[in-house]
Amino acid sequence: MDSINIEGTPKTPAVSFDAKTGQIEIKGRSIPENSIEFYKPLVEWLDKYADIATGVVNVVIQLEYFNTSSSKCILDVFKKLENLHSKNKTEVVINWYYEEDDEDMLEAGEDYQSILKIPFKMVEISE
Amino acid sequence: MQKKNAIYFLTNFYPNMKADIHSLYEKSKKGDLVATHEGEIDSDLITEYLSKVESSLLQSGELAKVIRKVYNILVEALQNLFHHLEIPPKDYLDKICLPENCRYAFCSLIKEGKGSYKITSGNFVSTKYVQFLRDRIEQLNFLSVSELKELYKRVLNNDEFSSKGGGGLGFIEMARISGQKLGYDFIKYNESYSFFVLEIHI
Repeated sequence: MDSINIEGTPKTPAVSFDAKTGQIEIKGRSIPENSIEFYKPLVEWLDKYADIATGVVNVVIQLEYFNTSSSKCILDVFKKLENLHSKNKTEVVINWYYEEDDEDMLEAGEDYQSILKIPFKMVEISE
Repeated sequence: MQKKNAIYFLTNFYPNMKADIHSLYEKSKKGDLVATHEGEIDSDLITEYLSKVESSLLQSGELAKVIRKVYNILVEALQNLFHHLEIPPKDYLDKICLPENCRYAFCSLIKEGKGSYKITSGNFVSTKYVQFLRDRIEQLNFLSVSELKELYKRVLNNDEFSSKGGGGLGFIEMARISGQKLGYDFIKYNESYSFFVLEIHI
């Protein structure tokens, strides 16, 4: 299965989904006007990945800004990972990064944590 | 945090403005102007506007926490304009010398004091949506910041997603980040169109 590698832009994050290593990364800013268009192929990839995933899936989310329509799409990504975790018994860990004085980003991670049944690790980035 | 009262009905303050929508834009720019735009709203414009605001605020030495609040609210305000503005009637566009089918709106960012900003946006809406929007904003203005947060989580987790990809979260998030009531007004232009002005304080 092919991996995904997308470069970041001023409005969309850098994305790296590695089918071999199970490393899933979304980094940068996610503020596109049409987030569904951006995230749809990522969600579809995760659907297919669920058929072959083994071992550990390590997820890194390191976002500076994300708009409300991205927040829905990011939840869709997390729900696919939640399925992977419950169906395949694949170990999934979400590493949610936030800058040291950005309480809002920390809280956003905690909000997702409260909705989902997969382990979250809050990782503080020192400036 | 206790919510401060915002200005609800701007036309109370600008009583002669009902027929002169363009002057609402002029009013939105009064003060210590950080950024402003009147005209076509498209994806490139939004990118440029956000970039300009971010560099202005960084250069002025504004606190990172404040920059994030302003930026996050602006992202939602501009994207609401992008998705939900109604193309103005031709006679209005002719009056202000803009082409037919211009996706017209305005958005201004003013610095009001230390760490304090005001965002004013204006766009045409179909008159049939005025009551829905008014009710929506009024409902949000009754909620505390923690109630807005709980509402945000509930709406986030349900399956509703508007065809424009909005999800209904934009207003909730603007109100929550602001911590103050959203100011708004609707000015009737004709039977089919009204003009919606939104004011958000940070």
